[in-house]
Amino acid sequence: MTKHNSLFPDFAKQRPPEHVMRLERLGSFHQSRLSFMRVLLRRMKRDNWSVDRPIYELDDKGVGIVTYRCKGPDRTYTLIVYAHDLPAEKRSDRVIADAWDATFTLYDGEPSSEDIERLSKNVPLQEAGRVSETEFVLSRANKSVRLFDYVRDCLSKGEQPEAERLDEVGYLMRTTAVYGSGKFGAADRSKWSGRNEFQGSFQPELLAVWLIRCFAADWVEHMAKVKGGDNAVPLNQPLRRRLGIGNSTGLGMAPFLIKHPALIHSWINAREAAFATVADIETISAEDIVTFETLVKRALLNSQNWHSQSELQIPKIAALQDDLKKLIDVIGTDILQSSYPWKALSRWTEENLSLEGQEQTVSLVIEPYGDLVDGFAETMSADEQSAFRINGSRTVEQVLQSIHKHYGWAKAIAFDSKSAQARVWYVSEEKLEPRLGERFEEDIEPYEQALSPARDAMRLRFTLLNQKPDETMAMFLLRHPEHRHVVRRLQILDEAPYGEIRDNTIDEKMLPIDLLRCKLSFFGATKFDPRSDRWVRITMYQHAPYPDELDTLNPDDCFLPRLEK
Amino acid sequence: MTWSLGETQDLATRASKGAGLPWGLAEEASFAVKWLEQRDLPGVEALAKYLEAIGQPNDYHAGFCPIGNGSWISDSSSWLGSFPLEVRQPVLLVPFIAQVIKQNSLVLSWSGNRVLLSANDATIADQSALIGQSIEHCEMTVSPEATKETPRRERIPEDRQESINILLEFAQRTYAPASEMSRLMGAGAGVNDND
Repeated sequence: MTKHNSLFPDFAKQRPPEHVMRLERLGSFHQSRLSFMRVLLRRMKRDNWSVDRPIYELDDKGVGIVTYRCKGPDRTYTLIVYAHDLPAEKRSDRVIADAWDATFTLYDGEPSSEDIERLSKNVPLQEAGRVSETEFVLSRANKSVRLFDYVRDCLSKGEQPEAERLDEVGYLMRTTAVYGSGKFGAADRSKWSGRNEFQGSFQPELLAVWLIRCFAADWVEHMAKVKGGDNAVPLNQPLRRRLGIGNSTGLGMAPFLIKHPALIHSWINAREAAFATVADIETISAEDIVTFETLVKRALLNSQNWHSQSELQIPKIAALQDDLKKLIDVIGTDILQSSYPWKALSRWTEENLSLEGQEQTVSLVIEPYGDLVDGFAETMSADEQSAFRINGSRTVEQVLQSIHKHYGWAKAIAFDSKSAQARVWYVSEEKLEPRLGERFEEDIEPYEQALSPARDAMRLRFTLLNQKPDETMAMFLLRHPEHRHVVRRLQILDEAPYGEIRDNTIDEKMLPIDLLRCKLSFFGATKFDPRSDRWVRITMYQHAPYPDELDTLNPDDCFLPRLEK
Repeated sequence: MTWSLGETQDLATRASKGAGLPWGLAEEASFAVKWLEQRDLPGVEALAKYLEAIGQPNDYHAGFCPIGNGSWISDSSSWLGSFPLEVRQPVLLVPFIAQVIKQNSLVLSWSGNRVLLSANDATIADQSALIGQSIEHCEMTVSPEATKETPRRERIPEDRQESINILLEFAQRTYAPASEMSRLMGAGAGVNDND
């Protein structure tokens, strides 16, 4: 398969965009073996990456500098950690924070002492600082104070913490932003996108996050040693692996899915192609059925350890647990002994399970077929420039057809009603981050961002219906430059049919957390815990190997909890 | 302090929108700035000067706009018939003309400035400053001379900072003022994230 192909040969066998690209379904996606953190660890294991800690200078308050150096076949990268002593009153609100427990940057190569000094004046400031073309990622994290202190206290007394207490939170530290791709002066994506070790999407960011998780565990052991001296013990490895790294994500991430249609298409298309490939298997063995049943049981265990206080999420988790039990029951019937068993099972899930269960099944069905599906991961990036230039020879009639194809569903929406345009996406001057406002309650419409493609497509349609059908876009856009961004988007979508979310992104009932969930599932996140309709906590790399375990463990076997013997 | 191409493109889009260009043309402005800066031509400065000249929000007029005219040339896949042309900051036309050049080299000239351009490269005559003063009268001619391939620059150098600051001011117009309602409702703040 070629890297930038937009459609695979068997596209007709894939679930169609109008089925997949609904917000409610995207908001039910689960991590899979095509998720980016899994792609990263699979590649690092294959290529024998090694990680060490050349600088480890932490004082008795845990303040100092630590570096994690990763050596691969071609290059070396270093995570530089600045560990701080954060006053308790600074550790409150995600949105307005300006100081953190620890701040990080991923450096391209091995930093000199001058680099570490330069970055020490910028990385702790995060958005208010500047990094340079040798830095790929800028990030920060806060402790989960209750778990961090509990684990430190146990270890300092020579005891191991209780597994149940670890599972309640799932992580020692929680990142609140992971910036890459040229942000705040960092290296542009083009600097690394051609490197073998970073094929796919968000690979440097997820490398940084994996190392931050390692730091969190090292840090708690350091603090236990400060407190307990010779009595202190390290965390035992199985307990350590129960700890992932947390993340709190807000609206800053939500517009990404709307702004990058070609890239989103490449992600969804890869996952759907993988699912269609497996569904095309004619028969499977009894052993395959046992393997799948074990995976479903592990997913059930995972869902039983998934805690949320969210009224939006609690019923979804309950439905998922119910779904997975039904799935275990149906595996016991002869459904997987028929020909094209996965296709049959897929049909059954559509009729019998909630969206959570249906999408969990997609992830589980492709899980045992790495040899068939892992190659699709290499297609999960996009050349966003390729369809940028507008083809001015397209006619009004052709563009109307394109609108019908991608936005036919939107004709039923009454965009002149208050409810259909209740929201405004805007950027606040406060932190230059996207926010979502109420059009009819706040004075924000003048600041509206172009993040309502369906409404804009319907506006274009209305104007086009009054033009001559054979007029070219070049002529039309000369008179109507206000529609230019929509004409461009349609052109991109013609090559990237999974690129558009087929729901109204400014509707009064739209849930931004659905956008977040979709993106985070592609990262490989688990334990989605919405804290409101517009920000969510997640866990990353829970159960995954630490750097020193990459040799001995199979990372693909670590993303679901193991069944207790 | 250098800037990444990505953040500069993002800034160019926001600044153009803030100065009154529609979103689609703001995207074209961003494309043009990157194309020029990668070839060491003053894209950031030309855009800053152009936006200062048009100045008022929601007062976009296509007539003398290098971005609008450039987009027309790109959309219609031909520069023939577009020249002579009266525009502000003509260097911003170059990336759009380059998109429609097939084999030839061309010379774009105005007020003593000359840019030799092909599909991939653009070079300037030594005496050219490239920054226009007001509305410039531009001509285009076919040239027998070939452009030299120049290495692509991947950062925006520090000497662009003054122009960057102008773009930052225009971009500011697209940002909603901070308010408590925005913080609480817009971003979902006010919920303790301390666990």
